[in-house]
Amino acid sequence: MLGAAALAFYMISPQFLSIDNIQIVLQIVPELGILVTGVTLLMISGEFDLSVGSVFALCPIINIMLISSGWNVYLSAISALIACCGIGALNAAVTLKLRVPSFITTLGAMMIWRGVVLLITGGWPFPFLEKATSVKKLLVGETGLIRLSLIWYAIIVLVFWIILERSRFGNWMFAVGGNPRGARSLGVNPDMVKAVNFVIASFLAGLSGLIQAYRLEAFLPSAGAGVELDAIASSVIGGASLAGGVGTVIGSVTGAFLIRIIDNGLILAGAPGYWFRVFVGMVLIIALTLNRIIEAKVHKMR
Amino acid sequence: MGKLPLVKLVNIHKWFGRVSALEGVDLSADYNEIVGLVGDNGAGKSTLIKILSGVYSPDKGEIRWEGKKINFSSPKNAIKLGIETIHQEAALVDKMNIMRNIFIGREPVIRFGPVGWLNMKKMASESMRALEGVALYLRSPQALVEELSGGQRQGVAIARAMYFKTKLLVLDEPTNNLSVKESKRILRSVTELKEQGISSIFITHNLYHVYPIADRIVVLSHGKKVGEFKKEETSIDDLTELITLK
Amino acid sequence: MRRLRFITGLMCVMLVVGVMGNFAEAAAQEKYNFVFITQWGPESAFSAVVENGMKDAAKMAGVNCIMFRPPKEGDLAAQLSSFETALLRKPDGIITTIPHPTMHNKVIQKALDQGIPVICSNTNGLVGTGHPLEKKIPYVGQDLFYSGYVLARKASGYFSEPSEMRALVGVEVPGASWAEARAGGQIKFLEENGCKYEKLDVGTEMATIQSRILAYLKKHPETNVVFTQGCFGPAPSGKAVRLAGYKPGEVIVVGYDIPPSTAAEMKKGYVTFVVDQQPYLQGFVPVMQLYLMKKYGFSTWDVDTGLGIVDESNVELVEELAQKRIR
Repeated sequence: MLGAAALAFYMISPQFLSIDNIQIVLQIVPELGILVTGVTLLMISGEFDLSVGSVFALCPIINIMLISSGWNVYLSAISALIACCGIGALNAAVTLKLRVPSFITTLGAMMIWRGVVLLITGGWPFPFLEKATSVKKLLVGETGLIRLSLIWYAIIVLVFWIILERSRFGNWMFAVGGNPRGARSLGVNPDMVKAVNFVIASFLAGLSGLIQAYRLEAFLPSAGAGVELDAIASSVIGGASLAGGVGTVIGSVTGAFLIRIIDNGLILAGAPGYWFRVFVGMVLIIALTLNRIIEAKVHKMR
Repeated sequence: MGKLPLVKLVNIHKWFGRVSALEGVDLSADYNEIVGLVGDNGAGKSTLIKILSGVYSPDKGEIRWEGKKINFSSPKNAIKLGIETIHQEAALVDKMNIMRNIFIGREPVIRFGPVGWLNMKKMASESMRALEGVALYLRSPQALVEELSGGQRQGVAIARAMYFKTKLLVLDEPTNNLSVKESKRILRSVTELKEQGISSIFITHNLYHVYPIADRIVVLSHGKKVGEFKKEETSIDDLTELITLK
Repeated sequence: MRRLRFITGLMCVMLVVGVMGNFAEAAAQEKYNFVFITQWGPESAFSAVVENGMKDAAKMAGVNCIMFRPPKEGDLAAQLSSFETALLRKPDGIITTIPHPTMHNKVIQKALDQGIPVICSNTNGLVGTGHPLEKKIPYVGQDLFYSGYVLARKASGYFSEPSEMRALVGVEVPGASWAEARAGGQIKFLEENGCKYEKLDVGTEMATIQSRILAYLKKHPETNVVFTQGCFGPAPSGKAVRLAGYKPGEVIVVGYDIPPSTAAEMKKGYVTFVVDQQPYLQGFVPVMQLYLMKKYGFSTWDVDTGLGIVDESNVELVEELAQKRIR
């Protein structure tokens, strides 16, 4: 599907495949992609996280706050990421211990943490500080076709692919997402598995937020608003099931790329901004329909 | 075999809120024995079995395994001791393939430094072996479980239980939605297991299935044990009457 | 497999056809191609007026101009990447909003380096930063700080003494440069005249604004003037004043922009007057400027679009034009 879309955009505007444009796309994809990886993994284990957008904004804010108070730049980045893990753990605790559906827990979390961001910043974007440049180099890398952030994305994809497809824990994730009670009766602890995934999702959301904030050298309190829906759409386009138990890391990559390419291609083609939503919606429905069709075919073959 | 039973549940009580599910129930199984656990719906059979497999813990009473008092805090303990349970809602994950399903919770890994990779080759070959053990000849262990028929799925669950060197197999209504042929195969497997030294506790409300293969039959009604007979001591008609007695 | 290909093919065709209109039109004639890059979301009614002005100017001047909006209101990262992508189309001129003091500088400089003229419209975050670009980019829009000052000054005319004012300065988006600048101007006047005032975060939804202002008025009955900064502020402020039991004119309600909701309250007497930043001009003027620059090599100039006062005397005329999305 990715190929078809790319081809279509290329037909409309040859610049789509130009080096400059590819560079633009490769620059913005990791920021969505890393976050989507976490959301997909959590979805496979059977839970949702709608708070990723707020964590996306909060992590860099915490980071820059610490730096302005005089902390070492690397330490503040790491601390901010640890804080994100804490948020993930909190999501897990409320969902799993208090038995609140994760959709609702993370919806509340989304609003709370976005509110915290506004409280801290008063709505003002934080100014970028010179000494943080070294962190930028580490996270984002030099300008060019393949920025460091893309490499980080690739590494993350690889690591989590291995965990999901080739490790025990990955097997547990599929089991817990597909049949939590069954998994429990076989000795797997669904709560533990889900909790870990909550933490992973928040961590990756924070990481991608950091990357974007550093690339733009702007710590915006409005960053990431609405990205949770893009993330869910990307996961689903990539083959994950909202019911849990199904999904792939590669699929999430495809989904993230597709979402970003649509936006990019539309601009190159000269379509005014209204088209984006229409297209994403269409793509989502088409992707799901295709999935169904393929599944039905496979069934018939067996 | 020893004089002590393999497993003995003594005076088990279980409440759910204010509803009493089990009241003072005793159940035991000897080595090399098939015990049938029968009773009408709501009698408490599933609850008792969930206690045995570690999903629930009893509010009162104790469990003795091979003579020693035992506390199950989770299904993992039960599994470690050698109790395998085939639940009514099969513990199978539809969207995963057969071999992954068989090894949930006990995946074989290759250690590479600190990392444990799934040993896919071993999983594939071992799962085929396990399936053959219950005369289930499927094309590939990579097939998704959702593509199998009801009987084949039960077959996979039993194959899993057998493969892991169980001492006690607990089956909760295993023949419920199966065809005649598939049911027969299940019953045959359970009998073969007895010959291999694996005891079974077989829950059902279908007396015609359990009666032929059981050594002993225990009857539950409304959370209490109302009868326990060796097979020779009773008949299907007698049992039916007992169960339907108010 | 056939159905798969059919659907994919259909999608491609739809894509091509749906967009061919724009592209073909641009390529067909030898027109100038301008782009207007904004951070407004697709639902922003305000931006619709700007776009209207832009389209009218484009028609008059015989040029093409397209407005780009990010999928989500205020998504600055998306605005930046649309800017970069738009550059690849080698437009003849760029109009852009600058809602952030530093983020856009690199990409604006890139455009200038490529010889593409850039005009800033509506929001100029560079104001006050001292960055060299501040002088290089003309600004068409409202001078926010000054407009706030003028607003407060005019409001004081409704009292016998400016110092009598007890003001509620409502801010819809605390920290947003545009809101803070306007409020800053109002506060400057208030402080110069020794007035008591209080700043309040009133939220962005009309319902929220109304309930928060109502709550404040109940707690502080001595308040006699209410300022808000955004285009959806005056109408709920007027409603709040009404619900608090005041008669028209007892509390002076002033703010910005003249959407229909505000016009309605103004006619009832609960909104005293507003400053119209004339968004139509913010779309119209830059297009004309670019056209003149490209065709005749004229230089550009700053335009303060934001001093149009709308009150009871001219509200009906303005309302009529608002229906046509001109004001």
